[in-house]
Amino acid sequence: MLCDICKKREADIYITEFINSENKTLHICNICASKLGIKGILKELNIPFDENILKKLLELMPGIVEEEKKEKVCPTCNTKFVDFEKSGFFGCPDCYKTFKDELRPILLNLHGNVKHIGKKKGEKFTIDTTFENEIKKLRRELEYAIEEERYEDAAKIRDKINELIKNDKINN
Amino acid sequence: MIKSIIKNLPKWVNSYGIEGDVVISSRIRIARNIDNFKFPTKASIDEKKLIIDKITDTFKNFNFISNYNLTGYNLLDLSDLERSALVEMHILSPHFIVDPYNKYFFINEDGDLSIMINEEDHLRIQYLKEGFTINDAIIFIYKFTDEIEKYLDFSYQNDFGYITSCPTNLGTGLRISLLCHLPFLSYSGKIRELISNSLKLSIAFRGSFGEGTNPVSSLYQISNSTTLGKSEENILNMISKFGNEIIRIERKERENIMDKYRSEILDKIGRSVGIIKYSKKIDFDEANEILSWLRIGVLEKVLNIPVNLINQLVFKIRPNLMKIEFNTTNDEEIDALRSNYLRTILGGLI
Repeated sequence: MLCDICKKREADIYITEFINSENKTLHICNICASKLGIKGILKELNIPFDENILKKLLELMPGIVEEEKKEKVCPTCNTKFVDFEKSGFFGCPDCYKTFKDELRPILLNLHGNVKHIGKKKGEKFTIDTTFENEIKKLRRELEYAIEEERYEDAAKIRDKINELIKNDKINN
Repeated sequence: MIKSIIKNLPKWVNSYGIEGDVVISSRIRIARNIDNFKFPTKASIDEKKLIIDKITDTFKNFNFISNYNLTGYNLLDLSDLERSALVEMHILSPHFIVDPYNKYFFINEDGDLSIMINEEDHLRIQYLKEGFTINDAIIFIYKFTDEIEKYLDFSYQNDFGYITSCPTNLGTGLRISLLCHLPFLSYSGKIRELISNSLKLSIAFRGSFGEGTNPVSSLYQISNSTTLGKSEENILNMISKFGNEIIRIERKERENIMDKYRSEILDKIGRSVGIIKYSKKIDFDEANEILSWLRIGVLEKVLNIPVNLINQLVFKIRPNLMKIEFNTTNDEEIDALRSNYLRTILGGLI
């Protein structure tokens, strides 16, 4: 089947959308898919922009996601994701909001984590090694580990909490 | 003041600190940005100037300058040589001086606290101390940084913590590093295993000169490689634990090797003394290697040189600091001057 867009290359992706028992199929090659991007494909299919469909398509077509990702621009400083990929630097604090989703795998790779658990803005830095504080910090870490589905880490943290509580009881 | 710091070196360089046989110096650095401004890597000239004004005004108006004995410098007002010398002393970063326009920095009288404005981030606050003193150093630098936070609106997001221009510094913006002398772990080759293990522990391990894993000087920089998802205290404890472990195993290795290969080591030390006495030229790498052997000689009590003098020479022999010492810009004469310099300083002691 030839690509419906360029009508030259063999189609690599078939997208069928069922609307009110009617269906419409778009046959498209990888190159045209990359050129059009998600929004372009939706337009071709004449489907109104829908976030759920967008998400499903994103999951199905990683190659296109790459293209979309690179085209994304920070509204505050005009930095594109591709600029960041080249230089390693973002342009302004808002880039972290704009590229939040794209950042996730990068942060996991760099830090093994995606969430800040250090001192909050306005808080003073202290070295507090009291029992209550240690437990409080570990519980916070446990919450994050569960939230991020790092169950192995969560189990280790849970054991550490139990051990601290047990030791505290023995000491008192 | 900056000229005197460059010429005489700061106090932390001229001192020998706690656990100084292994850890020469400790450095703590915090990255911060001011909210609603583009990062220096993206900001226009006017925006960068505005950032400098905003920070310098805050420092003046709220007595940071007087309370911390700070002096501010426009980077352009320093010569190329002075800028490079400050990089060799780890007071400024190499990245900071590449483009000297619209850059500003503060330094205190002792030369241990420095603040770079418009490096990768709006603010890079750094504190350096001799020996293994990260606990005191971290309390000091946070007292300073948290005080600034009262007057400057730092960029912060709940999920990501303190925002930095490069995600490698995101979260706490905190980097703790130790400059370590590890000649015996290098000699036995055990350093390789240590480096590969450190990767798993979120610790970066690199040769202090260049990226090689076996620098001739046996000087290594050890620092936390992650800044997000760990509290400041976690990072401190991690480096503290790792630092203590390094100290323990380097000392143990020293004992082992001195037991087994004493005559070989003494031979190396003796040869280094010979080079200082009779050579006509010493290049930077050779000088580093010689100083490494001399330090071992001092630790093993076969040489009677104050260790803090060796610490001082580790910095003094660097190419740009040498040029400043001898008031020359001629690269070709540096090796001869270095040989002469080491002989003059150490001649009476070896």
